Amino acid sequence: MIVVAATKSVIPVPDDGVPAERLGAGPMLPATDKRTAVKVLVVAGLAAGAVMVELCLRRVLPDGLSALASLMAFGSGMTATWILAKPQQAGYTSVERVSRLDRAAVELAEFGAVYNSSVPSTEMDHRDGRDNVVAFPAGRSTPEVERAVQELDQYSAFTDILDRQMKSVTDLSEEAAGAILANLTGVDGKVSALLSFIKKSGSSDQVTDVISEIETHTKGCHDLLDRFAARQKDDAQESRRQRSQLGTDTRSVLEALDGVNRIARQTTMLSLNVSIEAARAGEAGRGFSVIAVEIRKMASEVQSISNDVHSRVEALMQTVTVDLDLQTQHREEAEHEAIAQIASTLSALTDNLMTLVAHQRDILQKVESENEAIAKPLMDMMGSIQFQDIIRQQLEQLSRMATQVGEHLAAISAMLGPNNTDMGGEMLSEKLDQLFNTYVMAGQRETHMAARGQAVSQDTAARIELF
Amino acid sequence: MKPVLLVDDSPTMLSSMSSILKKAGFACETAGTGEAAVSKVSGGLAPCLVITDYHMPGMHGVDLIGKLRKMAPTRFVPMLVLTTESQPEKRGAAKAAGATGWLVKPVDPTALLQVVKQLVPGA
Repeated sequence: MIVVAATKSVIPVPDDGVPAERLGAGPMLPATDKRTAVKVLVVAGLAAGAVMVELCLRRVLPDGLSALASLMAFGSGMTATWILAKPQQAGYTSVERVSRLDRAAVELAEFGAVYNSSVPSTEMDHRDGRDNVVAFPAGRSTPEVERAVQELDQYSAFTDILDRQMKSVTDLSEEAAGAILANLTGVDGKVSALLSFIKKSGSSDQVTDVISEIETHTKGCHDLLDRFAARQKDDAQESRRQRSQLGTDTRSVLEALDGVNRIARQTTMLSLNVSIEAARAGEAGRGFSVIAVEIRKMASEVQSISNDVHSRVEALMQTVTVDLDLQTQHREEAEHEAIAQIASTLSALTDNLMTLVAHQRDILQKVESENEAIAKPLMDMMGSIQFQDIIRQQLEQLSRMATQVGEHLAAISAMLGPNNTDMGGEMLSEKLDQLFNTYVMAGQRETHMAARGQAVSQDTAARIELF
Repeated sequence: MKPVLLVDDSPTMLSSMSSILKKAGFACETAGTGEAAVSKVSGGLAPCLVITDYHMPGMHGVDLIGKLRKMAPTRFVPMLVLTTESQPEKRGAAKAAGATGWLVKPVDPTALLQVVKQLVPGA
């Protein structure tokens, strides 16, 4: 992506007596090779500005802004190539101006040095052969410097776009995080309401109440059946008692008939005796003889009727007794069977209800465990949204860095411009140190130290500490 | 139950923390700046806990804790700093100002709730 870049290692050591303090820690160019500084200035300025921006963006920005950085780098490279391709023109003669160019070159080269120290060796190898951009012919002219100044002045527009784009990313991510949180809260609310309803409708108290009610009803049914069976037993005993009473009464009737029968036989014997006595009396007893015959006939008829009634009553009693016994037996058997069936059905119903209640308890336990299984990821997601605040702070830091880059490039431009404005004694390395002090996150400091080639100290402080 | 006062210039952080704490049964009051938080307490808000960011526009978190420690409703209320700041010196400054604890963003919700329940008895 980066077409050209300058490094401190390729800048010649100063030999013109310019104090090193004036230029800070960076190297100086020899007075006889000042024109080379112009080339260094142009190429390193354009390229280093772009790579600085890229350095800022390469870790956190989305593709759109990375593409912007790439575009800036590409433009810088093309510009540098165009300048290097121009034929050599007359050089500078003013030592002071060249000294400022030295300073500008060092400042700009600093960008490249920082960038190169942060790029993995494989990328450096890939760019091998294009880093030593200082080793080109000397003798650049004022128009090239003016062109460099013009190019440097364009960076304010880039940094402004960069700043706006990062603010846009922050706003978008904040809006998206808010929407995600709102949706998460909505889902959480609905899931909680549903689980609460299920839990409430199947709570242990309610299940206990249902079971208790079922047991009460079941017991009531069993009691009813027992009372019914007892009453049936009483009825059967009463029926047997009535049958016994019927037999007794019938036997009394039969005994009475036996008495009538006996009287009839005695009457017959009496009538025979009357007939004998009437025959003995002769003519005077003829009337008694007729009466005795009639009485014997009547007694015979009474005896016949008595025997007939006896037979009928006996047959009737037999019939009634047998039928009643059979009916009672059948009824008792049917009732016992019905009661047993009802009791069995009740038991089965109770068992089914208990199974249903046990199943419901299992469901409730499952619901409670699932509730926990759902609640924790939801809460974790609510916590994960905090990443947006961290990204926001990093983007704001990058925005400040881009502004600093723009201001520094503008100062260099002003120093190279017609007014030769002094950019002050503060070196870029000092600005980088100041930048380091503005970091708040350990990760930012680690990235900075790695980019500067410094030993990275790991943050070992506890993430949660109660004083 | 008294609310938890959340102070952060990030709407996302306020929403995230509110969601987590509300889900755990806490009531929450939010303020986008330290000044707004002081104003709420002056207006009668008596939180059971204060959780504040460190870096905020205007009054920063440590200053806020210092001010709240001088106000009757929050004089003895536990106060946590929730921040991305990792410098030990800042942590020490917060402790000196009267902070009860220091949490580094992003904070795990389960760990946060453990700390909150530890600091707020009966929560």
